[in-house]
Amino acid sequence: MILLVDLSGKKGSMHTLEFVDPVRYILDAIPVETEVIHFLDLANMLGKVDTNKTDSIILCGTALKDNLYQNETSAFECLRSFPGAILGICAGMHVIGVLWGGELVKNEQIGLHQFHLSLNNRLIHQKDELNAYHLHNYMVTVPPGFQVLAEEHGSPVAFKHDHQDHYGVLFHPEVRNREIIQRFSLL
Amino acid sequence: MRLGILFSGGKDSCLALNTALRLHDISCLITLKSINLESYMFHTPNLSIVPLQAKAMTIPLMEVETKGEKETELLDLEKAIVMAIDEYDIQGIVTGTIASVYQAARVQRITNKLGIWCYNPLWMRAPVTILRELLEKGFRVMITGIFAYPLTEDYLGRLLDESLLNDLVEMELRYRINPSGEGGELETTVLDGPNFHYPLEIIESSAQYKNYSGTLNIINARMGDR
Repeated sequence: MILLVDLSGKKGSMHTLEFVDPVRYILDAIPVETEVIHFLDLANMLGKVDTNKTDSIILCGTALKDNLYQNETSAFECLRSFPGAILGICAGMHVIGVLWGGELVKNEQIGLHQFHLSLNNRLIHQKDELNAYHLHNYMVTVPPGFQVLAEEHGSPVAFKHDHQDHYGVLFHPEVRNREIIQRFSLL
Repeated sequence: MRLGILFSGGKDSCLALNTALRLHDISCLITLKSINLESYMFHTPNLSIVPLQAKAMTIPLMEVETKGEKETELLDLEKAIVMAIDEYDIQGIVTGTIASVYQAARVQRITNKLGIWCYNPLWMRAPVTILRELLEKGFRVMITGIFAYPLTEDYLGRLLDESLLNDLVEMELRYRINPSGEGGELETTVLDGPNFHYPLEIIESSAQYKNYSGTLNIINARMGDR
């Protein structure tokens, strides 16, 4: 089961329809079982050893103006010991980056942008459409122990942990790069 | 939260409005009336019925005219949103955008610049699920514009029902028509729905059609009885 983590500032927000459900539609179509939880419930969910069936986690993005997740870093500490694969999308990439030692930097990008692949990897392939939908006011620097997978004008738009299947993508693959989510589900 | 909605009177903005009303107050409808019928940003057919829709839903309407020229129409949109902020104290905008990155990105840039929220509750939804939800919720959706093969004249004025939905799904399979009209294949006008206090009745209309392209222009309409 893939756990979809909603990074919206408010539980039950209309942003869930816009940033979590589109990821879920892609996984439903495969089909892959999913469960959606709000990020403030993440530690509680992962701590349930008896009932937790989480194989991997996707931290979904959220709205441009929605930055509450940046002030709630303790809610994500539980990810450090999670043994499965993690994919952070946009705000989710910020969370992974900061958790492992990166820093948030102001960087507004809205719309389609070309990127290039820096390193062959299991999520993004050279033959893919390398044009992606961005919707963010921040980017995150590459934390120690991570390698850059893709860049745009020297800025990292995708990274991966050296040894674990922990990925971050700054753009929204659910819009124009759905194969990234499909491949992640196979890790 | 007090929100304004970019409203065209078509099925997508009506469903987005219905979705937003579950959690927020919709303080005003914002309609851009484009003189250019080929506008990249805005729906153009039958905007004359929007004031009647607003009245039937008892939601204030802000109409702003735009020449509908690429990019300068965005300045008109920004002005309209600023007017709505000033007049209705809205804190965000709702849109009915489903898959158009062009439209979504431009509205996001404006709302980000103005420091207000942007909600796209139908974003990336499968077209058929949108049509199904409209049917289930009792929206009365009429096709008022067709712009692609194999949509013939007899589709103009057809109301959304199971039969039309099945036709559109078949066209998607055979001709790659987007059943929701996201590719500009069709335009719709909503005549009734869960947020309408009164249904709308068309009194007079005229159809223009040529070679798989046509519009049903609503000349006169009124509020009916519930």
